[in-house]
Amino acid sequence: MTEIDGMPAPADDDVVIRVKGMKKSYTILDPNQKKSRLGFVKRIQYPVFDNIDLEVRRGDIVGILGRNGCGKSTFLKMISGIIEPDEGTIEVKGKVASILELSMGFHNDMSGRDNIILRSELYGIPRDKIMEHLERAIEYSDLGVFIDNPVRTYSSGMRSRLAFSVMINVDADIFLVDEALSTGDMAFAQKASEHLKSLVRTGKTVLFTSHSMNTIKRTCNRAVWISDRTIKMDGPADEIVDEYSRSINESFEETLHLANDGSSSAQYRLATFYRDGIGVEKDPAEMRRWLEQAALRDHPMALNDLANIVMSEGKEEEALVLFQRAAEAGNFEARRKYASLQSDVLEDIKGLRELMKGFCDSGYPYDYYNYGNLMYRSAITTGDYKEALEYLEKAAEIGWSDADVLIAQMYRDANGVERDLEKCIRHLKRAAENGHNKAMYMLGDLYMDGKFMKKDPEEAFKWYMMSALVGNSRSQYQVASMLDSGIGTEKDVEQAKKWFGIYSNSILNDSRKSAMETLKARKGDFDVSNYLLKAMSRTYQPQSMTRLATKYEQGKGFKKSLKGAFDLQSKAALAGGGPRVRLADMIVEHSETKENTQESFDLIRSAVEYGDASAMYRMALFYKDGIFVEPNVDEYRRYMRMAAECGNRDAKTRVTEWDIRAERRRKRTDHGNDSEDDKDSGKDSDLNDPVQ
Amino acid sequence: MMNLFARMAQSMRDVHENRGILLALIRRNTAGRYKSTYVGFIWHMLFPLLTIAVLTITFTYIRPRPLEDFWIYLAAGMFPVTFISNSLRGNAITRGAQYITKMKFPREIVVIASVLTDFLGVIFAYMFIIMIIMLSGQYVNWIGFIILPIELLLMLLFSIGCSMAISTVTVFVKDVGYFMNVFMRLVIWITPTFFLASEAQGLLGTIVWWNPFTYYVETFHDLLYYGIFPHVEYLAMSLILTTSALIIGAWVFFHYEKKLPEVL
Repeated sequence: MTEIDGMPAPADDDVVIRVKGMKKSYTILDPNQKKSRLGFVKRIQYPVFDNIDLEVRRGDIVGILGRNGCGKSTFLKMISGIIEPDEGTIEVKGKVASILELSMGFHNDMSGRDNIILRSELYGIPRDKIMEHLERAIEYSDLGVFIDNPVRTYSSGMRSRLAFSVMINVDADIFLVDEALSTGDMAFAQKASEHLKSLVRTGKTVLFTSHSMNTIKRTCNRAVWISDRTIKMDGPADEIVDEYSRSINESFEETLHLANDGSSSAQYRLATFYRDGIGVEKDPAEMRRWLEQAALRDHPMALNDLANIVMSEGKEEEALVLFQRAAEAGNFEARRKYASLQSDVLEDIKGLRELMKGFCDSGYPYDYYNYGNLMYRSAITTGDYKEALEYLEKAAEIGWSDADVLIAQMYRDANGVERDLEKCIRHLKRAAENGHNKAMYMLGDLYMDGKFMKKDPEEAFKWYMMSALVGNSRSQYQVASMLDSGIGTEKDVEQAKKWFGIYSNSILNDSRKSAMETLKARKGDFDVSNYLLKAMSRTYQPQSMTRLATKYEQGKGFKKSLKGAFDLQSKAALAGGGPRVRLADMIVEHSETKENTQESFDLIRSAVEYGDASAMYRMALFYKDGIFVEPNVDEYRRYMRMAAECGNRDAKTRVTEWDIRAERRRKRTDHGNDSEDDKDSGKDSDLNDPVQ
Repeated sequence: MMNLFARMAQSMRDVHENRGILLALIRRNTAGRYKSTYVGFIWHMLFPLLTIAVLTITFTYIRPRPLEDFWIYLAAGMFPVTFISNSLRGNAITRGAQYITKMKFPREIVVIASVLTDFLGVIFAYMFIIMIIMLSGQYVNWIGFIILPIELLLMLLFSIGCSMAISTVTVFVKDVGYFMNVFMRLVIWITPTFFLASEAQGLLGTIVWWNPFTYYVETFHDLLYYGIFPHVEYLAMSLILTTSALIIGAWVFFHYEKKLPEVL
């Protein structure tokens, strides 16, 4: 337990703290005994530590982790000698400074300066030395002009800064710090953590507890996790912190504890435990209760989930309020749903859904996928999610990897389904084996960050490598850094350098070069043509569909096919404004009949409703030139301003021009200077502007 | 028993070694207490002086006693009685809990610092009393004045012993602290401060001599009010009381001190 893997057995001199077979128990009131009439209760021995062994070497900076009440502070107190063990020994070499409580010994009425002196004296620093270093301490505390004000006027952050500034003068070999880095602002925590690190560099040893896992990760080289009266894990800080945070997130008791303390995220997590039956029997009523609790504290996901439940119960108005609150709290899904429920978009989506469902008759996997995707993205009720899953699974069965990835996401994030990591991974693996890049690095992420499952760097590296080989720049970077530091693979700086090179090429978007490098780096796991085909088939986003349709239309790289182009573009047009404008253009370009141009106009008008700025600009021009409609200056200006507001650059230029002119005109009228120009600008000169 | 003496000797060395902490705690208790006032630490001296003034005014004009310079009698007894009874209230350790639970240092320092802080008040008061006596040109027994510091030291050690015992017990049984608070009020009334020991009649006359405070107070009365060399039996009794208080206090404290950080 006490040995850190991979470290050479160090000389005994280096061990500055040696705890052997330490046992400790506290006397507590017997919880099973009823109080007697006089109030006497039998006392029992409650074990705090059971057989703890630990060795800390000089230069270690050790973070101590564990839930509240696990004995972290007691542990430090025992090492500092304040509390003695019942059994076993604690040997400590060198002078120990215990900074166990920041506010200890502060006198509220005394000034910051006096308190620094007082505290330094309490730490046993000789008076002359205190005075010698006083200015340095004051400077470190960063309290400036407040240093001579009474401490009672300080904020808690200022207090912790003051307290920590005392510490920089303490001379000891071993520093025990309890929760000192948890208070104060980020910058100060950083400064304090740097100070601890610098202590270690000069051969001191530091042990500290903190609730902030990031602090421990950033500061410590080693972490000790205390749980169940013993050292549960001991090793490199980041590994232990990851394990610990995973266990916290998964432990029902821990979450219940936090949830009862009022942590909304714990309450939400608890609700998901009840929903998915993690560590507890499934219980919809409890789930509902905790969701409501979390929703009370404006937890966005809880609000959203609760809204979904309320929605499925048919209470649309109540759901709308909840969706609105969730949307305000920053939940994107809720924003979308709220918008849909609010406006007529829902009707549009219904139409769209029917249309897309109709496409599914073709039996093509991408139709299933598109419909499933639409259902998933626009899902409001649980039924919608079910339908989405059904169609996505259909698509996935036929081998449409995007569907696999989407299903995996649903299972991973418990979106509309119960969380199921096995299923998630199964789908991801299938997609990855079909060459789906996103699936590969999602697998890598899953294995690497250890948030949902046990960390497995080897497995993660394998998937990152595959993804890197097929050209994903993010994975290339990941592979390079893993090779560089030897995580999940043999350390290989040369290989790492090569991958960093490939990565930088990739992000420079030097596509040809990176493709060449990628091809060079590949080991024949993937067939080139297969890869290209799969890559091309991933065109479900409107932009890519548009691009592909253009390629079909122009016959670039593909056999020229107007029909194919129109098919693709029509599907793309279902998804948004931009592609609709493009489709309208295509219709005008490739057709002679009047009906088709009318269709094109309708498309552009509908694109305007989707908020597409270029469509607005086009509408404005229609009204100006009298194409499809009667010329109408007011409509022209209205659309132009609308387009400008929505960010169309041409429209903006034009509107600004109008405004400048109007301004100039106003000024001239003010000066009573009736010039020739002015009369000219009386009529709308814009109508004569050439279309750009 | 030998162990206890060794422990006490060790404790004295520890306290001496950590005198910086002791002084810091006393400074925190004294300077800190009056920090937000205008005159600050002077209050610590002003307080006894004003108390003496109040006593003088009360027993000269408001409720005069037919005794000459009765205020000296009162002041000489009042300050030691208040001091000893404070140390017996048993709150020294609970008040210093934050240090005992968070710092590794000789824990007796907390008790000693608490008693010494109060002791400073007695010293200031006596300084004023002696100054006034000398200024008013009253009779002074100079040999007696050599005894005074010794008796003060004995009283200090008695208080430290008492405080160590009572405040340790109070940590484990809070009720003791409350009981002592009430009990001390009674003890003050059965100590010769407002009455002369020789006036005590009947039951009071017996109880007064059962009260350990009486021996210290009467020594001070002898020295300051009567201006005579103190009764030797009072001195002997003070010495016995101090020794027993120290032994009992040290035994109780050192027996339970390791449990203190866990219980506090």
